[in-house]
Amino acid sequence: MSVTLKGSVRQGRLILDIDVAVGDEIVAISGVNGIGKTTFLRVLAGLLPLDAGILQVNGIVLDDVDNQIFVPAHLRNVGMVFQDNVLLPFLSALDNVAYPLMATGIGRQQAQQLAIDAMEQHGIGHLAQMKPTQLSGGQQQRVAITRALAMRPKLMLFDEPTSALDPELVGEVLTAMQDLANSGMTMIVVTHEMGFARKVADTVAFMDAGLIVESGPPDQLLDHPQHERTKSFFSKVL
Amino acid sequence: MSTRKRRVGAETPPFVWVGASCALLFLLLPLVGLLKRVAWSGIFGAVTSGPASEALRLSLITSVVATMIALVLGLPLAWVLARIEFRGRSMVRALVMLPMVLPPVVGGVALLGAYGKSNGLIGGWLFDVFGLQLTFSPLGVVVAEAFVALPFLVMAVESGLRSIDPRFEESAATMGLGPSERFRKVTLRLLAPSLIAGVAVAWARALGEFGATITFAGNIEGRTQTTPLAVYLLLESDPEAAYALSFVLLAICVAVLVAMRGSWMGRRS
Repeated sequence: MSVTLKGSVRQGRLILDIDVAVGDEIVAISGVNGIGKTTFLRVLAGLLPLDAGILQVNGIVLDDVDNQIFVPAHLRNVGMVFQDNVLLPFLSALDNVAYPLMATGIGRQQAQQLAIDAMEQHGIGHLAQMKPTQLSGGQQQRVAITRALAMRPKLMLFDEPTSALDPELVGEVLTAMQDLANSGMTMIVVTHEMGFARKVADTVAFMDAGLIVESGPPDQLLDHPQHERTKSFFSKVL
Repeated sequence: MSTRKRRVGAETPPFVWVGASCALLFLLLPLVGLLKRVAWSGIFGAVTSGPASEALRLSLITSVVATMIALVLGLPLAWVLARIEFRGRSMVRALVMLPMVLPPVVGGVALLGAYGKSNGLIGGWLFDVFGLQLTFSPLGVVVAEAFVALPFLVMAVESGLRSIDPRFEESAATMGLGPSERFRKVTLRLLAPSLIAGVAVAWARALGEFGATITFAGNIEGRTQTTPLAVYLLLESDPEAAYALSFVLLAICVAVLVAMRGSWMGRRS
């Protein structure tokens, strides 16, 4: 697995300018809100085209402004889990997992079987018939993670998956993500859960004003940050 | 009596009760008057015979067709207004909403200016090339009704589209659904309550259309005389039938209100 992005994109007043390479690893990204973390994930997912530069995943060009190449999100096979409003409200948990499978041409019965298998494998088989409104925020996120994984993505993006949850529900989602990390999935996680970052991430990156200011192994970045901005941020959140 | 004081700002000044009661009375009194005048025993006969039944039949057909036209044209327009940023968008929106505030008679005159056979902008051409005459024809009724109903549909659908969190569609995209699949499986389904509400108000508006219809399509019995026009004329010749027809229109509108309670009020199931 390799992701290389060297490019920039403008979002309102923010200019994201990223030069980064990610290998087979878990990357945790932190930084204050509104400085481009979500924008970065959206570029990787194909929800936002670059204004300049190149994005490659496993050597395949997904976005190349100079050569007018842009592979849209639905052709990228990059999974993404959002902060909230993650499940379609009119479908059961099971059908939420099954409907993207059906969109690939799998029949309804087989898609539902695959979905129930996936849910049981992730320990949420008992939630299959529930509507999203009947699920806790943490359960919704676990269904969303299972759904994204059912599409067999090669890369998983998480955009603050626990930030909208009540504190007591954070644990189950982080556990599900840790299990996923242990299975060898490449993950890029925007999070403020520094305990999770320290325990699970191979690399922690700190973003500010559209740039990755500093990155490195968790212990190094969290305990001995080099950059002034990083120092001041982590001194407040840790 | 409770001695607990209410939160400041939650007390109701006396004039509010008086004013609200008067307003309700003002709205209800004519309805009571209408219901009182309906000859219940002969109501079925009154609306199923003669010009009344003709008018009702014509109204139902033209209003349904007009609503379908409003839907087919209005959904894409609402999409453009809700989702695409372009210069002059607010100007376009104001233009779209114009028929809502325009006096219907003026709308009818404007339609004549566009589709009138002898003097209209493209009316003569429509007749020469396609043999289509809109004025004084049932098709003209449909055009007049669609013209006044379209903005209601666009408004409901546009606000519905705006209220959909884009993340539903974005997450569908990251799971491999292409644009048209996303539209069918996600957007349209999330939009359904607004779409139903929009169709309901557009249809109610089309059904009640009077001014633009009589101006543009005329008042020909069995051809362009819709129920509201018939009510107006029957009031002279056959008041019983007029009240019966009025009641039918009222009943339909109440049914529409009940059916869209929730979606139109912004409540979700």
